[in-house]
Amino acid sequence: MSIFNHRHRRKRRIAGEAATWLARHDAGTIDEKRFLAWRDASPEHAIAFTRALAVWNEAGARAGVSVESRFTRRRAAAAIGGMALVGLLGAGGFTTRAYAWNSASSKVGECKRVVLPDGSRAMLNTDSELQWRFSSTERSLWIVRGEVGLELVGGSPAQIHGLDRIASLSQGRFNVRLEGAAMDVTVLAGKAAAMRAPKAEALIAAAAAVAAPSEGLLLSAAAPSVREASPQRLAATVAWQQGEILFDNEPLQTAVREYNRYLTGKIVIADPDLTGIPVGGRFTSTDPADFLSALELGLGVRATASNGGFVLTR
Amino acid sequence: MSIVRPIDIWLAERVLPHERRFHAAALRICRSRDEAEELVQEAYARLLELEGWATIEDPRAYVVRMLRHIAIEKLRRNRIVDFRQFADAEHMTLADDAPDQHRVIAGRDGLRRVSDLIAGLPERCRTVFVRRRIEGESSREIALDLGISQSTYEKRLARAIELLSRAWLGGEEDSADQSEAARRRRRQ
Repeated sequence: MSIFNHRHRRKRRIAGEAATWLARHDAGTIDEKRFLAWRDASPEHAIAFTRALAVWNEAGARAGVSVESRFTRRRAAAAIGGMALVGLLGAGGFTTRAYAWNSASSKVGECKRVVLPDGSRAMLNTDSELQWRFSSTERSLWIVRGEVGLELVGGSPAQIHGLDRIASLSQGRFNVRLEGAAMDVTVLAGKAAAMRAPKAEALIAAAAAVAAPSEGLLLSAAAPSVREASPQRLAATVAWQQGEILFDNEPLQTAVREYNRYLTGKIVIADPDLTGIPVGGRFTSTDPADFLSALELGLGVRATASNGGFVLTR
Repeated sequence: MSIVRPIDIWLAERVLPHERRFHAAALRICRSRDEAEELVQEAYARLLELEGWATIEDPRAYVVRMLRHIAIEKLRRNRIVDFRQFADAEHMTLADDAPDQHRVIAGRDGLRRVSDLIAGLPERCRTVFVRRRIEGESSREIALDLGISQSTYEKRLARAIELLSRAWLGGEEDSADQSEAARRRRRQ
């Protein structure tokens, strides 16, 4: 996962150049000759420019529709009127309802984005529920079930509760998942520390259990533990937010269990001999068709529709 | 709009919006993300060279077919024949023939992402971008009102476009972009 390798830096530089040309073009200050020379120098340049153009068009086409006033306070009221503000009040109303718990949940196969009162963001994976309570001194989150991606802005310390475990989170990006009787916190950016429950004022980080980026913090009945998160694990935690599901050499049984989280019609392995077959690949999480045909093509496993789900046999 | 060619507009509007689809398709026949990205990039480069681009009826299906051809070309060149990859390549075109319900939803999701991404921009870039592109104010007006020079205005706008274009399509740089966005936000 070396995002910052040479290729990416180069791509990034070209994206920056393309954006600069487009900004100048829009402002009417572009030096056309120099631009044309740049564009013709490489197909990569031409592609990067159309990419900037695509996003520019896309944003323009959506003017006033969904980029609501949240970010343009001054003009919001005039441009959009009362309707669009309803959602904003819901999110920003924490000063008047400081001690109420709010909650959001997602159905099976659904992915939901939530903007928290301080502007932090949460993404609920399939069949998940998150509750929160925010005030000027407190940021408490409670994962009731499922899996949640969090992007926390700076502010008062944030705590995530899961089952009866608590972890303290810094500003950063995290993936929190309840699995059986454990809460698993993967850190993408920032820090996560295990807390001693439940005396709210005397929460002290258990010295050894602090997870840094690319590490996972596991809170269960046993002592909290920190382990390195594999690149695959990190990629998988990002993948679900893109509506994808990622397997890297996992036993078919594990892959199927993972897939079933997203499906109302479940996949069942009928032949026990199949359970241990290692599988890998990247698939769309809510639509198992590609996954099932990959199994058939690659492994000769047959999927038969049954009771709204699928049965796997040799 | 003299510097923007028809083919640029065509690519921006008819091809690039499907990019995540292309990446998914490419990933299934490549061994790594980098390889998949290169494959998609190669297909775009060939598109730009194409004389008859305007007559392509279904650009998305066309690109998916190209991906497969280029991948097979490369496999042949490498002389290492992996039947699994061939099988997947065969299968890929079949899978992408018609947009099904699921893909329609996925597409809409992609559109929604743009506004999310705008929301995630560092504040200064976002202000400039939103006022210019969403609210349609003139660049002079914005620069004057914010008390910044034309060149600072352009830099912020360019930065916004850059961050959006890197994050919107493909999506694979999301994590890097967001942490960078957060870093910048703190700095500004």
